Amino acid sequence: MKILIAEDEPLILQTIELKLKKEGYEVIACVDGLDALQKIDSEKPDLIITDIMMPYMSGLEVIRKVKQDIHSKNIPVIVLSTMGQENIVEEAFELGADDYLKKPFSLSELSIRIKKIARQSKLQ
Amino acid sequence: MNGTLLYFQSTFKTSFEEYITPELLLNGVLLFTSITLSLVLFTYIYLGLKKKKFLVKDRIRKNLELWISHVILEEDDEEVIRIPSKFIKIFRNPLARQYAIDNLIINKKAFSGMVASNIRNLYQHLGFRKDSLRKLKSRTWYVQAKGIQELSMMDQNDQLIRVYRLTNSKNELVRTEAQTAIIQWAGFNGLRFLDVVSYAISEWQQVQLLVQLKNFTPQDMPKLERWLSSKNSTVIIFALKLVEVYQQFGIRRKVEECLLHQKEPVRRQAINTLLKIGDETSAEILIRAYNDEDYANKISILRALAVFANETHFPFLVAELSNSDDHIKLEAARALGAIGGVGVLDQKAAVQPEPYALIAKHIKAELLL
Amino acid sequence: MNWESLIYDFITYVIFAYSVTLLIFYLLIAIYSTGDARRYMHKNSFTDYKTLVSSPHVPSISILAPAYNEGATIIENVRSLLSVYYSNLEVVIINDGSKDDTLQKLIDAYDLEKMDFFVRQQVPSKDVRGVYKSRNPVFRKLVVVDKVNGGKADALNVGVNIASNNYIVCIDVDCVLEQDALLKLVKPFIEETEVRVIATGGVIRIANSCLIEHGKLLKVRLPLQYLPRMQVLEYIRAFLLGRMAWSRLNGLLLISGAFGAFDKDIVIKCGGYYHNTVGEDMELVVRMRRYLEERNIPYKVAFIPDPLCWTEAPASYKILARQRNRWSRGTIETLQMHKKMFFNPRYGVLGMLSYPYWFFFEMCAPAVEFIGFVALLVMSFFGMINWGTFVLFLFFIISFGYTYSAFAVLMEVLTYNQYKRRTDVMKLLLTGLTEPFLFHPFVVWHGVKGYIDLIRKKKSWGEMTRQGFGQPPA
Repeated sequence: MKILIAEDEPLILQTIELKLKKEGYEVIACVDGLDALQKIDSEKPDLIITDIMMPYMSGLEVIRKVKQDIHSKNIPVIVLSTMGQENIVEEAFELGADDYLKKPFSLSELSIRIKKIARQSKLQ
Repeated sequence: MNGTLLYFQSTFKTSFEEYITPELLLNGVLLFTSITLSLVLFTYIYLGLKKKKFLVKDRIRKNLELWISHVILEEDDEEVIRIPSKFIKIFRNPLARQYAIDNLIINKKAFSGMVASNIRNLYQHLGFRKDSLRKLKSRTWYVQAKGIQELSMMDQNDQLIRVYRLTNSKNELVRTEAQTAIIQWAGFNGLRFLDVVSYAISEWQQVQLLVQLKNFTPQDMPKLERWLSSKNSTVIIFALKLVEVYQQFGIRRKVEECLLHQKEPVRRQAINTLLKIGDETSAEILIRAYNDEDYANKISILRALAVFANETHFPFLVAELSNSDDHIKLEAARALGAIGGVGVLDQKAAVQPEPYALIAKHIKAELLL
Repeated sequence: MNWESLIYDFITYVIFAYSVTLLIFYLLIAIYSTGDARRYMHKNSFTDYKTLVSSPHVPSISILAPAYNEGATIIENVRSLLSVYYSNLEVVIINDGSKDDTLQKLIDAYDLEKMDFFVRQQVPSKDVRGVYKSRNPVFRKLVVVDKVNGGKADALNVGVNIASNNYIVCIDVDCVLEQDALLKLVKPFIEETEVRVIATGGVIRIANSCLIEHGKLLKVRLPLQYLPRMQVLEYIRAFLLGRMAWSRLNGLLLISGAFGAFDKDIVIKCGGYYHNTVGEDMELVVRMRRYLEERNIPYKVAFIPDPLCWTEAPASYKILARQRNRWSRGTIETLQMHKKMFFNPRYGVLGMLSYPYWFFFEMCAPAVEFIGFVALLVMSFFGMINWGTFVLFLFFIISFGYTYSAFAVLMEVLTYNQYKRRTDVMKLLLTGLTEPFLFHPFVVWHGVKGYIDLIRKKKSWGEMTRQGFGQPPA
């Protein structure tokens, strides 16, 4: 399974990347929203994990673009963000996010959610 | 050089040269030129040092980054952290130590659970706690503040008493970092610094504290009432915000008392807090306070009335519709619209279409949004 | 001693006294700005803007962006403004009677619908033709106002009347903002506990030749063309040294029209932007300050040195000339309107220091420089002073100018260091060497022409196109 992560803090990106690789996923790491959007297009990941506040393009914009495009609209999206404010969480879900984790978050929780979403998308 | 000067001096004609001698000017030119050159030189030396520091840091980063990530992802609790021998030398370099501390802090902000506890262990294992404690003792304000920040991010709760004393430090940054640290360690219990703080807590710091409290499960705040009568008016304002955010309905009487506080910002926050926790009786109190309030607070009161006024308050709001100020007109209309008084607005519009017809339409359009 | 020589004496003394005072002022500004810049940088490193930006407790902001014939770029520009992170935000775009399809493009792109809207008449402004909001909830922050053409000041006044939030941020619609720009800009309003902050100004940086995509700044580059590059140096001097020092003294008279935040209540109490000047941004700040001084309310005009706002600088001589002509007129008009404050102790720092400084060294500078240069030239031509002294005097002034520029570049390197490559820093310094011979005379000449135009009452606004950003003090 191919997972794309968009996170602008390289250290956090690396830690998540390493963890997911250990669990046997193929990982595509992106440092900002634009980068993510391009790689979603070229790499066709099975799951997207994205931060919200990133340079050049926000995670919410990335979700909107992904969900508008027929080629990518079925890719599940998990949001990872320091922003826990209700209206932002709501906006993320309205735009089509499948899950929302507030930072600080537990990596083992993330991997459980990934497995759950992977199972769901396989069922469909 | 002397030749030229002699030439200049021999041809004095007006007073210009009497006071602004060519000699003086020449010296000035030489002075400024040499200052300019030294500034440029200094700029380049600085850029050079910066580049060198960057390269050193980059090497440190390349060495440590991956290793740190691996260590903090370790899942076996019992595993003792082994520091590779080549790192022991690296860690003698203060730059490397600071890099590692900053790295750990960034990661700590993002992760909880197992990773977080691994980060704490690594921080202690590498002796960084001593570094932070040393900073805490520093007399330079930003170094001391940095020490507090590190200790707080790394959950070094045993420093609570020492840092608690700094929550009323005369340096603003030290003070705010100390307050933040206390909350980080003790959650809602940490708010007890409000008992003693005598310096103003800026609105900005209040935002930071509220954001931080969000990470904790809400708890009873038995001292709220005391804070609401604090001598420090910013403590009252902050307490009012706590009442608002954590819906402390039981304390409404005390909030209403704050409507009479002599300081305008306190009264404004009291109005905004009532907006969230008030009911119909609060409407009466707000209307009574209305006339003596300043412009901004009048607007706030009208906004609050939109939430909990009822038909009995129509006359008051209708009277305000005729206020000469357009903003007050509109807010009064908005309040009427919100509490089912659209009919009243229509009546007013029928009697006096200019400007009330448009105001009524505006309110209806907003209600549809 | 005949009276002819008395005149020469007078001229020479004036020139001398003027130069020395100016020199001392620059030195003080340079020294005074450094302490504050360092302090700001240290303090700032502690704030995690990311966690605060989504807090519901930050003050509410309305961005006001006037647009005139911006059809070509308006959609991208608005998208860029909408994507700025801030939780309590409203973006008001004011179409100032554009003759092109600016409005229609907005309606189509953002699915706008005309609303029944009661426009509060809180500050005077021309008629509003319609207020539009989007049917799409994603764009709920957006408000578009269509109004009769009336110039920038009038458009901003309409914005003030429409804005529903407590703080307004006035901005040129084509500015590129950094992600956390708004939070940093409003910070002074809620950080200050002793006095009321009435306005904060941000730094304008020059975007020419920078890599910009989708309204986001991807890479900072030193402008390739001469004029913009020269203005980079000019802006660094003005913002990093000049405004930093003046704000520390609480004597700031000007906030750039291209990026500044204001307390809306005070703006309304002062009557909003004044239509009859080309320097409306400076005039408003001066009027607001005067309002508070006269009521003895402690207040502050703050300044944020972070590079938050990037904008295109004039790249052609023609547009630059027009801009400097306008700045010169704006300064004169503003100072004339508030001449009551000139050396008036009642107005404190404002009356005794800021105003006189602006009067002598901003407003009069082009004239004094121009007349002084011509006078000395004539005097040396007729042999009243000798050529050598004349040339030495020029070199003296020029070498001081270099020192000041070199210091400004050093400060930039020590603080934000936007141009990281060493060759870029060298290019900037070398460009500075040409200033006294090329850029400066040009700017002075067009400043002087501004006087002449003002005397002739030629009330041209210049084209209301995009050269309209605020004026940095030289």
